Amino acid sequence: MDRTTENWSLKIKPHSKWYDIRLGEILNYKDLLLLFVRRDFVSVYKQTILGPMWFFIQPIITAVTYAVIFGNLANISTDGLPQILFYLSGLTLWNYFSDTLTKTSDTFTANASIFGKVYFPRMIVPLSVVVSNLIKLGVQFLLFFSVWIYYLMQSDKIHPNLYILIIPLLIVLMGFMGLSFGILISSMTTKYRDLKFLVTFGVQLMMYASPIVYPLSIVPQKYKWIIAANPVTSIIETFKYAFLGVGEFNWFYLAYSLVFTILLFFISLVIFHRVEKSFMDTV
Amino acid sequence: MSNIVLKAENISKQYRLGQLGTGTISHDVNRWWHKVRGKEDPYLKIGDTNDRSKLGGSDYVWSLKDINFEIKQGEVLGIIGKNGAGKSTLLKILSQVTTPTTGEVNVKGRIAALLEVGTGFHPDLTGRENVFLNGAILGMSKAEIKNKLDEIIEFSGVAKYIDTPVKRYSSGMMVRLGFAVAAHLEPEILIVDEVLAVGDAEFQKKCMGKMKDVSGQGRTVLFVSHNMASIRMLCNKCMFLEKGQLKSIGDTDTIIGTYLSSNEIIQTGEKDEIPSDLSLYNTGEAKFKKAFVLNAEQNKSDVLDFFGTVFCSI
Repeated sequence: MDRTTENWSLKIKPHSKWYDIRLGEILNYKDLLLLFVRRDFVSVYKQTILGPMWFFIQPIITAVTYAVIFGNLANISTDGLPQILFYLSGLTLWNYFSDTLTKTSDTFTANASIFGKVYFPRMIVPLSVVVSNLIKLGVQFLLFFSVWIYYLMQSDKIHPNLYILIIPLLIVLMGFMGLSFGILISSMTTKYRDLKFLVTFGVQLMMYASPIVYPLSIVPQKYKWIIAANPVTSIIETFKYAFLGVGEFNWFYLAYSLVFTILLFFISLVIFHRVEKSFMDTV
Repeated sequence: MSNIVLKAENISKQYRLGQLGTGTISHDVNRWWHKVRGKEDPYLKIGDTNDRSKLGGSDYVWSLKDINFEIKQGEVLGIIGKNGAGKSTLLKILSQVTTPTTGEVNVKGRIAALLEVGTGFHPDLTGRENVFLNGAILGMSKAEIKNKLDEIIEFSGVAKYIDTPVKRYSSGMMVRLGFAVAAHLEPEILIVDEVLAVGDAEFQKKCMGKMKDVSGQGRTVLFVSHNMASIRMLCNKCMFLEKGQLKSIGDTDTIIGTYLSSNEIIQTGEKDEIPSDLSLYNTGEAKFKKAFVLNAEQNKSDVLDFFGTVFCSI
């Protein structure tokens, strides 16, 4: 058979073009993605008594702690809103973002034993993290929703508006931003692990640079640009504005977050793909 | 007409010895600087051959060097060689776990690699859940696994424990379940690293039978083993790797013969006398002073014909 007429279904080469990402392959492995999601859920709550109840307990305790420390001890304004509701509205999306980021940031190192034995598109693992965190977000959203309904009946300070319709976009943005940061860090820590030390610490710093424990309105004008430069800010603010009717809504800031997320996602996808081919030798 | 389903051209793999640390960054910077200027990677020119027992001068080593071969559809290729000869590296490249440093492999059809049994087993999940997980990792779809689930459980012989978390399994049971999943893969090309070594005799026999079935169905198998008997039983072609180089490839019996004769463990020298300091396990009650191998014509021979008639004179 002539060499040129042969059609190989797979070529294994030392290098590939940067745009050769083979995203289509992920579709063939969608069952694996769902099984990873299932594994994450089932395994986390095996041998616990409260089981999935922990999904509720974590944000409640965090919100109560914030209410005590930031609301009562430090006396930080909540724009006149009930404290628990205010903190929960910030935390719900933030947790989705930070959980996705931290969990995808060690994709390569944590899965080295599987990746070293079997090939499948590596992107499946971080994507499964996004999906399982999305389910977790759904559960925590229910919690937020019930607290919100309760206060909606109780007080007249809450003014939900039509911007609620863009909530799905906010969720998608948060997910992709967490994923992009995560796989970027993961790709950059296979060989030199220095960055790993920054992750938990960095995520915490980023939280204080986002309007979660304080409203954007109390930030002095001079420093506002720093907080606004944080792409998470506009997403959290929009979420609060849509549900609670307080805070700021700014199309320009939201567009900035959107462009930021898209760019970051493509850059990290390309880098991730470069690293996934040979990371086994350096991890 | 037989079809070539896998063709490897000039594949090489270089590894860096020693630890990764701050010293590596200067090499990385240098490498990057060469690349920016459009020059060749400076570290590709150096590197020792892969001989684990000798200290080399270089920090870089060629785990595989210029490997060329082709496999036709339906062939069962055995890969043999000493520890560290590059067998697993070759399988890792073929199964896309890592990339070659140079060269190219072209493949037709789906490849499934079995470099380990039970990859991705989660200790907290039950046997049944792990069958799905492991099957999906190996590239099966959920529907495919569902169809074969009964067969897989039956093959593994752990039906009683299938709804128990695998952390309660004995290591043998885990291997059985892992292999049972892998045995029901249906790729065009199956790559198997030495995984049969575990498990009891009965199960090993079952596995060998299954592997024979697989090749009987016209699928291509690459099989690494140190067990010459299984290689002989399964493979119709064999490849012998030594120090990262392809020593020879061809008919199984010939290649096994070459491989075994390359293992000169004890040099008795001209006199055929066993050195008096050679003492492994003995009670001292009897001692062999001379031993030599005779070929079929009763002449002294240096080469042990593994499958021919062998006479020993003691």
